[in-house]
Amino acid sequence: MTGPLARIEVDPDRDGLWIGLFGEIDLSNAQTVLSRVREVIAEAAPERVLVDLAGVEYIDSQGVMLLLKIAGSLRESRTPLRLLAPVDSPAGQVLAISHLDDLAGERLTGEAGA
Amino acid sequence: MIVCLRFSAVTPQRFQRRIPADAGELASTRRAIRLWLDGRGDSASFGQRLLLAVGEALTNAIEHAYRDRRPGVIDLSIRDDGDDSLHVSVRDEGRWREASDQPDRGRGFAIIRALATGLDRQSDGAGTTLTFRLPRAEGAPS
Repeated sequence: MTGPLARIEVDPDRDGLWIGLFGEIDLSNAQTVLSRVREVIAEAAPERVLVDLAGVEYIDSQGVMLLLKIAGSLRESRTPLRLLAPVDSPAGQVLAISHLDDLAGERLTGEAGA
Repeated sequence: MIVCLRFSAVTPQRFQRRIPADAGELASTRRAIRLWLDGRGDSASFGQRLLLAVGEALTNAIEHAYRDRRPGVIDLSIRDDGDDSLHVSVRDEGRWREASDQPDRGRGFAIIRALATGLDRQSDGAGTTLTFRLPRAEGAPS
């Protein structure tokens, strides 16, 4: 769906739109993943979005920018966004290092437990 | 003329790899580093931090060093000198550009600084070398 490195799973009925990201997100595929996530959100027109990063095996600043862009789009449509990333996971690590709450000014919070 | 675009040399004390400056090389380089780490018995947490810091350094070189010119190569070296950290070197043969005209660049360097110590950059007409040390102990840089 997003190339050999990453895939997206979607469930529209988990108290809003659940988007699960899996695999690896880097410079080679971040733009593709972003485009696919935006398509999924546009199709579902959800009241709220949960992006689940527990299945991400690698993510770096390219992924952080991806998340910020998703947050920006959702902010424009006043759609709440929540991120889920175990604190000791690759995504949880990047969220903590990047102080994503401060950067985004949004409800971007890494949470313990998937 | 023979141009060597890919080269690997691996011992338990040293990981060396030359790759084309292409984003498609990042995943295979991560796989090679994971194999190297597995053979050394390093912890998963340490490996995660190393992959992230190295990934940011490589990404920076791929994105910026060869902009507006023919893509070249990147030389990655990870060395264990037997102390409390691994020594990382990322060398390109491109041109260094200040971050002022690249607002997204700071995020990658901020991640390296959060994970590593002794971050240093040396640039000359032949290219740029980024070096840093990755402490085995978590949280050491802060």
